[in-house]
Amino acid sequence: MVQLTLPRGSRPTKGKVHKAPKGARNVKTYRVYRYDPEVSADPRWDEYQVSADDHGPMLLDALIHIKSTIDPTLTFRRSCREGICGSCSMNIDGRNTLACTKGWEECSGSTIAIAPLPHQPVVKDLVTDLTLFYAQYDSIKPYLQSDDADPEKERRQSPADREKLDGLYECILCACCSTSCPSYWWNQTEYLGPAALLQSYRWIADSRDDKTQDRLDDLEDPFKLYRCHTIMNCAQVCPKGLNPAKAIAETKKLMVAPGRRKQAA
Amino acid sequence: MSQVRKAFRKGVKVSERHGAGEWTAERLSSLLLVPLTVWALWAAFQIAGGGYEGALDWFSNRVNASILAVTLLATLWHMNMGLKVIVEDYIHTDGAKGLLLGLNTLFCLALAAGSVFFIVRLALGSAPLPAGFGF
Repeated sequence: MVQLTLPRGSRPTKGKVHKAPKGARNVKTYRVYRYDPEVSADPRWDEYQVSADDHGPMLLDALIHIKSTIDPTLTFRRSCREGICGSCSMNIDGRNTLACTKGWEECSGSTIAIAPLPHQPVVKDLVTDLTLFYAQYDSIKPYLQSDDADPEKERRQSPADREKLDGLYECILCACCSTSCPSYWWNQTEYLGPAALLQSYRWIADSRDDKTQDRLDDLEDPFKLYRCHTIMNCAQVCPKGLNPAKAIAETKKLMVAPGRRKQAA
Repeated sequence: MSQVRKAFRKGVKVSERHGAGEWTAERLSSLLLVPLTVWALWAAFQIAGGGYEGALDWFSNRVNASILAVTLLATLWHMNMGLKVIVEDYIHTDGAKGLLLGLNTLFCLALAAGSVFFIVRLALGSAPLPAGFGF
């Protein structure tokens, strides 16, 4: 049976409360998941009361402010701070997103919960182990495979064919979609998840790629592809506004399209 | 229900090269069931209030009996596929999973056999159960 509750030792307890200084205005409370593998204690929810006047408009600004001025032990990934590297993906206010593109004003209340991406092993605090996620991406062969000899210059593509890649190539592999998907939660060892499947379709849909049938062969599996039950959390949370569920649906359509040439395993 | 030995490469599952057929069957049976379910509801209203003789009369019409049999078989086929997916989604222990998948198929087959048996009996104008079984 799938594990519907957290095992003993993984349930967060109430942690420390860092109060805002007296007289602070526009105070927000950040409830942050904390876990340190080097300390044999349960994870905990620490609370940081911070004046929003002291930092920039985004959640990442608040986290950096907390780390710089209140608690240097707080650990999280971040890099570009403009929604293109995908490092600061986390669960904010109950929804997976990028801390750098989520404004604190967009959150519902004065207390904002920040947790690591769901259903991934936690390395420390808000940092999760995405080894399997990257292995799944690697498995879909995310590169052009052409039967033609290398051209002298670029491989040409008509504007119409190029348009087919819109909504696919923009994926930054932040893992917000896959880790928001219940099917991925229960079966991630066998189901590739929305991110890898969207990336796979990005190459299937590419007019310059000649391995469409091989790619479909590699995906045709009751779990790798067909665990998608169109729950649509992926499309709801994607911080880039992409729709992995649609890419998966297009892949399923190609599986039974008249031109399909299936090869035996 | 045979449990296929699953292969993994670099931690990622190697494709079993099937699934499209099952996916198509789920959709075909759904499509088929849209008109059939509406028909079955309409049929229930036709039979209601007619008493035992009325019901027998309805079943004696070969078209009614045949469509009802197809409706039940399509429903059970669809149910079997749906329950299989649910078990695969949530049950991860190999023994329990195999057992539940087997029971699912047995249960659906038994219901299918029973449904066809009783429809044929009623269509032939007999009591649902053979003599000596209480009716």
